[in-house]
Amino acid sequence: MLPTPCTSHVPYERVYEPAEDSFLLLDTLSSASETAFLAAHFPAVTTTTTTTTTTTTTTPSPPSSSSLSPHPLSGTTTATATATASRATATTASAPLLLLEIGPGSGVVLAFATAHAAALFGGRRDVLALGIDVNRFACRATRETVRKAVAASSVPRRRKGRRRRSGGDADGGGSGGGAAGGSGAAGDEGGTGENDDGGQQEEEMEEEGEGEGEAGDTAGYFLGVAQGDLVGAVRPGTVDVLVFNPPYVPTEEVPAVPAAAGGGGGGDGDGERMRTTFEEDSALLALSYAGGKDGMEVTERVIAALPAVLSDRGVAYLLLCAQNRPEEVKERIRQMEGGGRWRAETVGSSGKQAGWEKLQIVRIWRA
Amino acid sequence: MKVLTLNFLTCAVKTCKSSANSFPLHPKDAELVSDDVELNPQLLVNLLPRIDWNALRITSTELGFPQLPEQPPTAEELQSDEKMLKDLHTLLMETQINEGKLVCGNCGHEYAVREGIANFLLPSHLV
Ligand SMILES: [Zn+2]
Repeated sequence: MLPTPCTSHVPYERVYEPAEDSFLLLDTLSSASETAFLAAHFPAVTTTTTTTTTTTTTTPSPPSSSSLSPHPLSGTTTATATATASRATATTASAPLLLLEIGPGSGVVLAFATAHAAALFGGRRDVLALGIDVNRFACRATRETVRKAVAASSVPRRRKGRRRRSGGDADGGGSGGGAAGGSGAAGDEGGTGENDDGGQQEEEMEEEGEGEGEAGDTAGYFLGVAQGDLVGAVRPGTVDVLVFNPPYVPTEEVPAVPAAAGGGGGGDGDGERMRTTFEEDSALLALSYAGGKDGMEVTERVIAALPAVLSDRGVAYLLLCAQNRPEEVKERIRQMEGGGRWRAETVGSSGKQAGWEKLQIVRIWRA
Repeated sequence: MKVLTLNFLTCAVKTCKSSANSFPLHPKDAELVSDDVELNPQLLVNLLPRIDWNALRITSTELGFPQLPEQPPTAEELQSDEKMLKDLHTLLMETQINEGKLVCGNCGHEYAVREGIANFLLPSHLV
């Protein structure tokens, strides 16, 4: 089990507290099947083998008319055509992944994915993590949660790594820097943890730890958090991994998104002020759970934006509850514009309720 | 908010989406802070193809950083150019916008940045 980020600093009276849905996202993203999918979907390098047939025609330039040629042969033009078949193997490094969580709330999921980037993304640390939340207190909380989780991932992980290495890795000491070290870390994380099997030789591995990055050998890069309404400010075609734990509870109506301060709306709800009233806190919390009709009004807006906001290789993880009618939602996604390329599959679930999964995580991507 | 983020954000006003002028947003009165981040040359090289170079040039100049060349370097060029690696690393990975505004070049709306958090919520007349 990867450690769950600490959220003790989060003001739960106005920021959604991590709950079953948050933990389902953590479990799903770190499950063996999902890390395997992500590693295969986002390979660090792609190798393409191409067979090319090149026909080269060599034609010696004929002597210029002005020059007299003393040799009859020099006037003869010979052309040589050579056909060469060559197999070229090209490796292309994959561009870093942009990870966006919409509505991170406490930041527990974004912090988890950032701090354990290498474990989740096939050994890759080149994960650029960004959060966007409508609630300013959630923005602040998320930033702190990520900061703490990334810091925690570096120090204790090193000790753990040392302990594991002393357990006698097959390729002993194979934890060198670079990609190999990264994927090794990913593999290790799947392991059993504290009470490792006996038979370890106690070995001081101090030297091994040197030379590795200070900022945690598993963590990605945290870009920051912005306050905003869903993906409205996201540049199209940029997001590689999108995570959304939406307000999914069916309610009479969806609370209005607070307007920016200085605007016509008076700006009371945007949290620029540090002090809030009880009513304002309630409104902020309502934004995190109230989903309107079928609990889908906010989610539908994000689904509609997916074709624009996801990169071509982009993958979205969306949490749905039974009242959202997940089977219908998935079918609608598969019918989205894009020539039948859209896929939507349930990749994690929890809690049975009258034979239905209470909560589930749907993975959405283009085939 | 790291400066690199500006390469992934745009004006939130719907009618600005189709305008080339809405990207990148222009920092104004920006107060910058700097984090110590370990230089990862490969990350920067791999980042090249997914960065909008022209937008990055604009951002770099507007924040008072060294002028970037008109054309992006190739992977090989960047790999062997220690100075440019360092410059890009400082600009993209270490520098954060802490206070100030981000201005849309199309509609002129100013998004406030406070305590490192940019606010993209719109006043009600722009929603
Ligand atoms: Zn605009």
